[in-house]
Amino acid sequence: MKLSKIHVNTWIGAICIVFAVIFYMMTGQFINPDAAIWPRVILVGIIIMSVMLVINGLGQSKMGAESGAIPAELLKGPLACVIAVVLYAIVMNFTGYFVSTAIFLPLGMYALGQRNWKAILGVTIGLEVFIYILFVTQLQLRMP
Amino acid sequence: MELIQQIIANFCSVQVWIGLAVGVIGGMVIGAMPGLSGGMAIALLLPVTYSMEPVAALVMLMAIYTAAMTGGSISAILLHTPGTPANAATAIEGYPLTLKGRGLEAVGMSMLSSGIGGLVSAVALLAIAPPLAKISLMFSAPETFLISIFGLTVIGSLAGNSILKGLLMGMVGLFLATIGTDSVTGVFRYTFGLDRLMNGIQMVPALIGLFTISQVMENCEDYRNANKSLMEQSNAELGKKMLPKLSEAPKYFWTWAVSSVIGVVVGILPGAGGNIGSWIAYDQTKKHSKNKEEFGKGSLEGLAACETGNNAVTGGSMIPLMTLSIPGSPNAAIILGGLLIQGLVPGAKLFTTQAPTTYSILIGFALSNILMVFVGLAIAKYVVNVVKIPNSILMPVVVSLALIGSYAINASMFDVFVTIAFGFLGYFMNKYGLSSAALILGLILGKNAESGLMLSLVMAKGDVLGYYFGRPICLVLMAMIFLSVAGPVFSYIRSNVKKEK
Repeated sequence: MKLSKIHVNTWIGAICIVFAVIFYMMTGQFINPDAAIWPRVILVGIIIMSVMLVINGLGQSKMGAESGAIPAELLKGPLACVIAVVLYAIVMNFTGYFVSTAIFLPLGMYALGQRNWKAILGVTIGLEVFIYILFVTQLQLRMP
Repeated sequence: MELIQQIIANFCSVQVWIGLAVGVIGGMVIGAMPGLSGGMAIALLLPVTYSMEPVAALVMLMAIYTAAMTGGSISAILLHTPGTPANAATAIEGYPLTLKGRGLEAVGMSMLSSGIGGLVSAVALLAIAPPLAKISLMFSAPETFLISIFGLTVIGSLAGNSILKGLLMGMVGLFLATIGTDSVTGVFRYTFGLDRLMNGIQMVPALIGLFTISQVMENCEDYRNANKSLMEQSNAELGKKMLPKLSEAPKYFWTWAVSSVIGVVVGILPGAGGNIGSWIAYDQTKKHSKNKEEFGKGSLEGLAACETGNNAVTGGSMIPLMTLSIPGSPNAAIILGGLLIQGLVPGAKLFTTQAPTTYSILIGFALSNILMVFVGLAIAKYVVNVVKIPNSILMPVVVSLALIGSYAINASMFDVFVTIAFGFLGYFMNKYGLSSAALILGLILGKNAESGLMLSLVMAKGDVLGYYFGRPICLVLMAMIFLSVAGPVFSYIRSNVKKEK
């Protein structure tokens, strides 16, 4: 059977089994064995469910069901989004919330197709002022 | 008669009405912001109550408690961003309604249901607090464990098309709850040497990631049309109907009644909170509904159950607090501080020598639920227009609010990265039919379930079955778990037998 034809449930189950086995082996390193009881019960449960899911996936693959894979074209936007958000968080860590937001908001709106500069500027300034009043002045939060 | 006169005299104070208004409006605004919770607002306003009259102070704090849960439903319904953890279940039914152009109707139903749940719990608090409080004394580790298991049976309702995947995600959530310091033995588990993981994975950043960031990522699939609003993309018109007609109200009567009772009972249980109340109310309503197929795709009945359940917890959680000094929820624990600041010590005295003050506070709490409905309905027509804002503006703003909301919980950038990680995970979970709601439920209930089980094993002294079967409340809970699991199985078998005939 081609790898691309294997139903996604098989892959999900297999990944869960691998992680569950690794984490189960790590329970042997806990200082107090009692602390390992509950995680082991849960991990055995995960392994059992994952095996059932693998079997379910293989069954669906044999019956010729669609693999359920996400088309690469559909992933462009979401992956770009998450990269942008990660960069935003990293910059926030170094420059603080207000500077990073002043960069992220206009760039993000422009990247998503917004070309009305008044709206971009207005929303950026408005949000920064709102966050300052609520979080800094009222909630006394120490901002990043 | 003298009691009534003293209560009326208390309400002649302007400070009480200002406290009521500040509590309701402030609570709704705070609750609507992802990452901010009623507990945060209560904790921050606690020092302010030093200089206030007792009735005004406690009415304000309790108004914040109930209004924050209601405010959280607004962002859950319109943006798929639960404002508080108690509104996660609301997002499942509310957001699909928004996509169908029924956002105003969903917000209206949420306000009405929240008010009903809160009012019922206020009446329970007023009328039957002392006898109900005795129930919380009977709860110990075995009951805590079984309540958590009962909560987990809700996963069946959240699993969507695949119960197996739903149960798997529930167990993954339970496993994620083990990360950090074990509450029984103090051992560090799966911290990989990181100090930040000693407290485990915080629920709110995970929730914001799974619901909000993943939704933003999904909206970015069609980035070429990001200048369209949510309404334009879903080809829906924004409806004008806000509340059910009077003739439609009886359809929801049973949902409101059952969900209110569930919320009050869950609220009485120490440490449970609105999160569990809304999930159990939602699950029970779905199981007994004649329109099960609508659930998960935008059911007003499901929405009503969630919001009634989570607001009914508020009064219920005050019952053991005011009678036994046992907070029924984390927010109630903070309100205990408010009571002590005003010299109101929980116990029999509150309902005897200090009765005028206590009953004034409880009536103020009931009034806050009524005011909350009117305020909510008044702003609903304006707030719902957020769905007309183009995604190109809305999505970056939502991301910014989500990240600062995650940061605000512990003033920690680590929580921000947890949010992003869960957002990434949540996007693929949604694509592959893995229930985020089941994972969150496992994360919420995991710690309680483990500590309840481990402590009860110690208390049982080797005879676990005899210990569990020897406790009446445990028997009731085990029967409820069995019915909750077996009920849908029997219905499924019965419907298949009918089809074959």
